[in-house]
Amino acid sequence: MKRLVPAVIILTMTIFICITAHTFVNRACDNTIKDIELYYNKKISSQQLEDNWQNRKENMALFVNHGFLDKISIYIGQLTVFTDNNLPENETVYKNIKSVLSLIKAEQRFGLHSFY
Amino acid sequence: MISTVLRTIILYIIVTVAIRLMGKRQIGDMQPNELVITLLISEIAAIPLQDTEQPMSVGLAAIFVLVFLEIVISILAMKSFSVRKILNGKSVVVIKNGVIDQHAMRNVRMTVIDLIEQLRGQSVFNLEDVAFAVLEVNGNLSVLLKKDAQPISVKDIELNIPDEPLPLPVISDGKIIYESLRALEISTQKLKKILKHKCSTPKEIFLMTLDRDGNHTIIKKGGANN
Repeated sequence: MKRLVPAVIILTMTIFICITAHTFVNRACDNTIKDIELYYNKKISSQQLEDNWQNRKENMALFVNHGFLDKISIYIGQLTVFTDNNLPENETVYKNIKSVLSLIKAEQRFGLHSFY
Repeated sequence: MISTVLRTIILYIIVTVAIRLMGKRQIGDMQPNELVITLLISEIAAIPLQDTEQPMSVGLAAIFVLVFLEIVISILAMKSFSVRKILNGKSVVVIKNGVIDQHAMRNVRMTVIDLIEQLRGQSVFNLEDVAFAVLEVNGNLSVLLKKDAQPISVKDIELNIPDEPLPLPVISDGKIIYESLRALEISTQKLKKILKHKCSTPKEIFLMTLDRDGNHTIIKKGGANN
């Protein structure tokens, strides 16, 4: 039974990583959407939106494919330029951000897509 | 670049700890399930190293799960004969009472050439000398020679030779190995006394072995055996 101790510790660590990743990534994705909506409603500046995302990105990199995060960084950069200049392309960029965030969320939760 | 170096260091430490937790075995001695897990761990550890876009946690979680499975499976295999049989298979007698069991050899897909090669590996060159040969689950062949082909042992000639005590290294490269001294139940003072008798200090010694009876071999640094 003594040999089971490291196994239990490892299992606990794995479950902890999974739950933390799932909760943290979901919350970060939701907060990013909220930030963008606040930015649309002019409650936060474009700089603040980008700073908030950068902080979030650093932590999310622990659990999420870095390619996805870099894509969102690029889209947020585009979004601020298009919105500040009242260009209609911002809607497309917003949709792109939402779809990448939903992909990130899908990767974290258990589903047939992530399983296969 | 720096992140790759750091990732490599972290993964090296984690994989080493993981393999250590799984127990000490060489690749050739591994059971099938142990070999599979070792191969998987090495493959999984390489993914975050090769692709820096992958978060490390993905690789780590997979390694942790594999180590967990290995520990649990090895405990189950230890406790239950059926689990052990399912996971590792069972030993197969390929030579029984000096006769090759062709049916058993077909079952384990072993050719006569393989058998003879394995026997040569055990320093057996004449098939007729073999009483029993067992193909173990790790692929090794264990051989029992016929009585007339077995080398003479001390027991056969009825000599009364006392068992030799096990010599252990007590000084390596100038450093005293206290663990060996504890195992031999010999104090540091006694060791120093032996060294004093030899007009030497631990720092001057490259290797010293000692047994319970006080028999010792000393190799001085840059010198010969003493």
